[in-house]
Amino acid sequence: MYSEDYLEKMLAEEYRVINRHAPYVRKSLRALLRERVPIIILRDGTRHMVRREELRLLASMLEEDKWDSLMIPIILEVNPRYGEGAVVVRDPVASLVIARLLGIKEYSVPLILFRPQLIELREKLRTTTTVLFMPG
Amino acid sequence: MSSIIRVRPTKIELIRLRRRLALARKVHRILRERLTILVNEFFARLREAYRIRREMEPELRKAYTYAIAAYSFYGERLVGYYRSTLRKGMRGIAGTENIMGVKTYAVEIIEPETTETGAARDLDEFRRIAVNTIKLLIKLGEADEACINLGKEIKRTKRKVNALEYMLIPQLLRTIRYLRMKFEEREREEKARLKKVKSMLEKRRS
Repeated sequence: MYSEDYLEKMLAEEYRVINRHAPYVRKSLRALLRERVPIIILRDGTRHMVRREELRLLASMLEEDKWDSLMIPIILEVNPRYGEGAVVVRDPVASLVIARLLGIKEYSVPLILFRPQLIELREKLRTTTTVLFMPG
Repeated sequence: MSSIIRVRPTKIELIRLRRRLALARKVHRILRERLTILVNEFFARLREAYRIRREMEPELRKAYTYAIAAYSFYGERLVGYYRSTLRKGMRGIAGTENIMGVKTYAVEIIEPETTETGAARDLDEFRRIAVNTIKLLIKLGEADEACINLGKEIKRTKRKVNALEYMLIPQLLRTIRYLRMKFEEREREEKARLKKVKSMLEKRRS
């Protein structure tokens, strides 16, 4: 028989570690393009390898003067306030590049994406985006 | 597991249970979202693995045909000599990729530095096909590994979601209802007792 305190601790722990794959430090697109092997360190200590093809795709979608402002990985925020299945992109430069990539003509910041768009985006930018959960 | 949690029927315990229920609901909602995203990722990687496998099979067949032809026509010594003309072979840097907390292998392929001899076009073609096949094989390995790891994580998350949805949350709700009923019962008893005392006092006075 489990202890009730243990159960509460387990739930709290589950809630705490849900974002363990968040980046420890984010790097700019220009900095990652300069690296021989583009790598990002995550909060759980793992090294996340970023695909060069995705970086090249992002660079082709964005003007060169904005390469320093685009921080990688792009954070896709799952926020219960926006409803089930919706993700939010708060960064203006990231919103611009995602809108261009998905062919969204009119958008506002923060950019709200729905499930089909999220699937399409994750297929194109698997290693340069990350999904984080916000407490609701 | 019993249908309700054994707790002392006190207000403090009720507050604690309500807090636990709120937390359980929050965790359940997040885990369900995570599960949906993980399933989507799994299907994306599965589609990728299928596409690569379909691309790879004819390439592999072609590479074997070229290899057999090269060894039978030029012989082992000449093919070996041709191989030595390669300046730098194909290399890969192995690392990890983190998909929503699921670690999978990732390989950064560094293209080989070759010099086209021009003397033996079929050998150059063989080399090109072989390099392409190896690249596809590495990509297929990555996709397969990701599918296996994502599958394991999906299974684990699903168990947690189901445990919360069908066991823990209903149990907490039942216990809270039981405690509420207990308090109401206690209140009714109290009222009845007060009435009794009142009537006894009135009788004594009269």
